[in-house]
Amino acid sequence: MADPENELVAELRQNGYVADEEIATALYLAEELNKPILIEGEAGVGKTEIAHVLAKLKNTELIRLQCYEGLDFNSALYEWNYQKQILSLRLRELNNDTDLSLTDFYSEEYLSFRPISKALMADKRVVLLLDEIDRADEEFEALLLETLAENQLTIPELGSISAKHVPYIILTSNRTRELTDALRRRCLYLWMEYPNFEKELEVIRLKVPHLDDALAQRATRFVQALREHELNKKPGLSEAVDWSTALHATGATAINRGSVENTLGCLLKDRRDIKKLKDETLEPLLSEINGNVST
Amino acid sequence: MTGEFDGLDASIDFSLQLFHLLREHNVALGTLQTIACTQSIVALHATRYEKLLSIYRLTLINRRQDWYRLKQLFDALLQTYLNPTAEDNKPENETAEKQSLEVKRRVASDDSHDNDEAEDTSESEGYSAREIDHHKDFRYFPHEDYSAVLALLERIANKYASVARRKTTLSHRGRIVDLRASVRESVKYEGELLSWRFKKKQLDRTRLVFVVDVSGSMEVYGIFLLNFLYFLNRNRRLKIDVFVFSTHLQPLTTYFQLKNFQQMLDAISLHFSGWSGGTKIGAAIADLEESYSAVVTPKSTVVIMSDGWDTGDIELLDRSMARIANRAKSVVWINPLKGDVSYEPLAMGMATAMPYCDEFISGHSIESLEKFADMHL
Repeated sequence: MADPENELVAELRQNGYVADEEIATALYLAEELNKPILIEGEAGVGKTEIAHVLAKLKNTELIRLQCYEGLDFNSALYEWNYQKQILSLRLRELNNDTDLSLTDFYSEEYLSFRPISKALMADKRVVLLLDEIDRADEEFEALLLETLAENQLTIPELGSISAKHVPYIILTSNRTRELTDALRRRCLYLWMEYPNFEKELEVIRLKVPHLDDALAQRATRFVQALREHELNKKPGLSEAVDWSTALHATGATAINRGSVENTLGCLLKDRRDIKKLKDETLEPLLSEINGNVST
Repeated sequence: MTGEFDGLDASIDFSLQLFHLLREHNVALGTLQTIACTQSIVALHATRYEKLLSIYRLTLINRRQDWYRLKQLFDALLQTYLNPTAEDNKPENETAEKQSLEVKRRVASDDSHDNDEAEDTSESEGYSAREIDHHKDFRYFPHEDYSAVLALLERIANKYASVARRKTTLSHRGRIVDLRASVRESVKYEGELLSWRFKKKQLDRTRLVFVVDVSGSMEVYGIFLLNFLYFLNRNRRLKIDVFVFSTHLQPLTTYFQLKNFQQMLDAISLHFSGWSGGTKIGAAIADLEESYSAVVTPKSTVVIMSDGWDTGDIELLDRSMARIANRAKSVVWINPLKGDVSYEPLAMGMATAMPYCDEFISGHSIESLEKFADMHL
């Protein structure tokens, strides 16, 4: 019998995501144990993409919450629909409906669902992506703990709402801030490195299928070699894919000074890095990769 | 490392031993994590070593920095597990292992290896000073990280030590020409520059008086702060006076001239008996005010580091705080407990002292010490 995670690797591949065994194991365990996954890693290595692919694979909805500083529970968890409550009260007054109690206005009917409550109340198992959780404040993490551990949400006026179908929860972090231990303990932890040569080449072949194979190899080697250099912002996998697409679109047939300079904006996003590459590192890099392939 | 255990039972047995070992080595491991790990092993029927390690990484470790430790402990345990006769040598092995870790860490940060295998264990994990968390409470740093934290503190202190003053003042002689003043002077002679005016860097007379609580509850923070101050003290621009107290006050300023920090600590412990004892803040502040009154001037900032748990006379604290606040330029209270979001200054000593403090800050992490330095140096 094949390992379930190996099957998952194949399924992810069919959906356009090149995963290694560790990623597949994490996804498999998240489903089996109903646990959230916390994914950390450099920018552009495909952390967010995992959630997209998982939603596609499970044929379900992706609910995304982009975190930012100052994010509060009204925007993330739930909010009482105040206007609706007032209108409803007025209408009932007009209809001389005197049989009123406070609990009538604090029911699910008056609740505006926000991403997290929406994911818990969904009619099927959805994917909930809490993107860049490190951008949110530490207090916000505390709000999440109940949902992450118990898959439920407590609303003081209403009580606890348990998930109808436990969502797949994926949290991503770029490590701009250290997350609390409480949050970490409740999650499976997945660290994503920059991909190795084989994986990156596979991704480029998959995403830019029309690119000439020899050129794809050289491009991959170039990006891999570039990451070895001291840069302010190293190119991630997504930049490598963008660059390969740009190479294909501009009709480049080789990696040389001309083709690299024309498309450099896709690869490097920092003015000093670009200058440094053009002035210093480009020539040695080109001779390195072109030499490597020919041998 | 390839191979597998005979069955699921052996995998679980091995895992239980690993949990124990990880906890022994100060890896914070909650029950939630160990349960998740065991469930994962069962769900995946994991018996292969590689698979197990992958599960441990996903479920037991929640920081990339801890991978390295996990891998080392896993390998060490596996060796003992598969070869029980080697158990007698375990302690020596472990020390040897630890030493080699230290060496490897240095190698990983300074050198790049050609050997692929060596790279596998040293390069990717990157367990080095660079990974030290600036926000982490000093209490939670494992002992092995202390040297890295101190190195970082030293770097930060040096940064402040080398900050050049921008403010300048007129000088009759000197090497720095004050162009603005010279041109202004030339207006008298219809724009003819007849003489140069000079300027010099203005010396800043910031005087900081640190009163550090080294009672039992504060020892860890005290040590880090003292270290930070020791590094800062190399800065000639600053005038730092340091006192420590638990039940009584002890001036340390002279010890700060010693060549290395450990030497300094040894000298202090010879002469100061109250290390890790109880706390009497009131008496200490009163003593500072009475016996060392020369250091508290209208130009000095008094920085008190304590958690505010006082076993002494509260009224005395009230009176001496009032007097200090009156005399000093400002009073800053560093309370590491403030690093905890739920903290409220309710301890009797803290509540009494609060009204007299101009600032109340936390000093529980590298980042907070840096913030403090930003504001006051």
